[in-house]
Amino acid sequence: MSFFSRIFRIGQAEAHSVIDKFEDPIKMTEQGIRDLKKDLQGAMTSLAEVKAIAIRTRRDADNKKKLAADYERKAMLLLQKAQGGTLDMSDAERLATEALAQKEQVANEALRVSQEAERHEQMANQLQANVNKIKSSVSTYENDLTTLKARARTASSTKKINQQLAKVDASGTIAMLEKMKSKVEEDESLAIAYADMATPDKSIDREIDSALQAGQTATTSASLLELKKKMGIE
Amino acid sequence: MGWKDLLGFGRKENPADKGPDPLHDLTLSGLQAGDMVDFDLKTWQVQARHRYDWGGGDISFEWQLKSHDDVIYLQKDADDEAEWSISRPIAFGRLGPEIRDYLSEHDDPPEEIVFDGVTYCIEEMAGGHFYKDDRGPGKEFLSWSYADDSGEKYLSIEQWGETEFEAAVGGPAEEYQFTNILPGSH
Repeated sequence: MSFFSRIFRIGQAEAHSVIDKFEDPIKMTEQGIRDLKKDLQGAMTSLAEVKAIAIRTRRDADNKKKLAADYERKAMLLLQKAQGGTLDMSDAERLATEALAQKEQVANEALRVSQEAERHEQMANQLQANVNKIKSSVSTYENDLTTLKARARTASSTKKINQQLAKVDASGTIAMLEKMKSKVEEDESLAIAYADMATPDKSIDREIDSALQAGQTATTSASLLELKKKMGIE
Repeated sequence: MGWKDLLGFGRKENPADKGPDPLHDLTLSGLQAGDMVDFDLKTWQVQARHRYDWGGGDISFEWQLKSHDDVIYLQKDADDEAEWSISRPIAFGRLGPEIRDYLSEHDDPPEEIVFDGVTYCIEEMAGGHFYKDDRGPGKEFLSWSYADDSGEKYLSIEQWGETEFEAAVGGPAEEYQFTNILPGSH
């Protein structure tokens, strides 16, 4: 293989390694989850808007219903006043008719807004279901990623340990131990030899000491003399 | 600037650039005005978040929640652990004229109040400062808290100034009762 093609191959391998680093599955999954969360955030903001519209529309419908009831109450009051003689009957009837017409109009409006509110609520429920689904998925992905990260860390550590173990030569280790054993034995022998060499001096010292001590033990000497006398030894 | 910076590899993510984590950051304690939350089969919009300072570092928060036809107050009292409660304001007059009379005579409400057939006994009296929307100078107030025998129903009376009184009834709440928190446009 020519020099240049080898250089090219090395470069190619390096490029693949860099790409492999870029394509770290954990990092890519994290990015994927981040993107999903961003989408979820957007969906939640939209849902909040729809819910706000639904609340507002429902409130509007309620107010319109109340207004319609108010027009009806006013129409009744007008007729009561006319009946009590405080208001001209024709005027009261005219105004009451007007009030009832207003009531009708507002009631129709209330119905329309109420239906609109219902539609918004349905849409909100549907969006809520979707948001919950995305939430659940993201949550599952996050949990899976945490587990996978832990597994990846364990696998990486195990791989390193196994690599280290694989590099150790068993026979080499035994030879090393044997070598160490013989060295220890050698040292032990040497220690004994040195001890033997030191023994004569020590023996002389011990002899002198005991000779000196012998004179001090009167009881033992007296017994010895008595025995010698008994045996006839001078 | 190096090539890594140009390509964006060396750039560190600024946490401030990120919005709230939709899975973990949207909590009941973190509710802000504009947010939405579901409770009791209704969707509520947070109208405001107020703070009560009871002195000695004792703080509690209150969120005003509004649905299309109702207004409730969600309170969080930070004791050893957060205690949540829900209350609904009632017209003070509904407690009966005798309560106002008693207050004007004794400067304190009675030890026992009967409202809607429920007997409430006084639990504590406290005073503090109220910070509307968690801002501005605090407004002084006095508060009397009552509970029924079961401890499931609360009643409170608050005094603002010399003659202004407010009342509310409610009960304890649990965080799990509030779901689907949504961020509003703050």
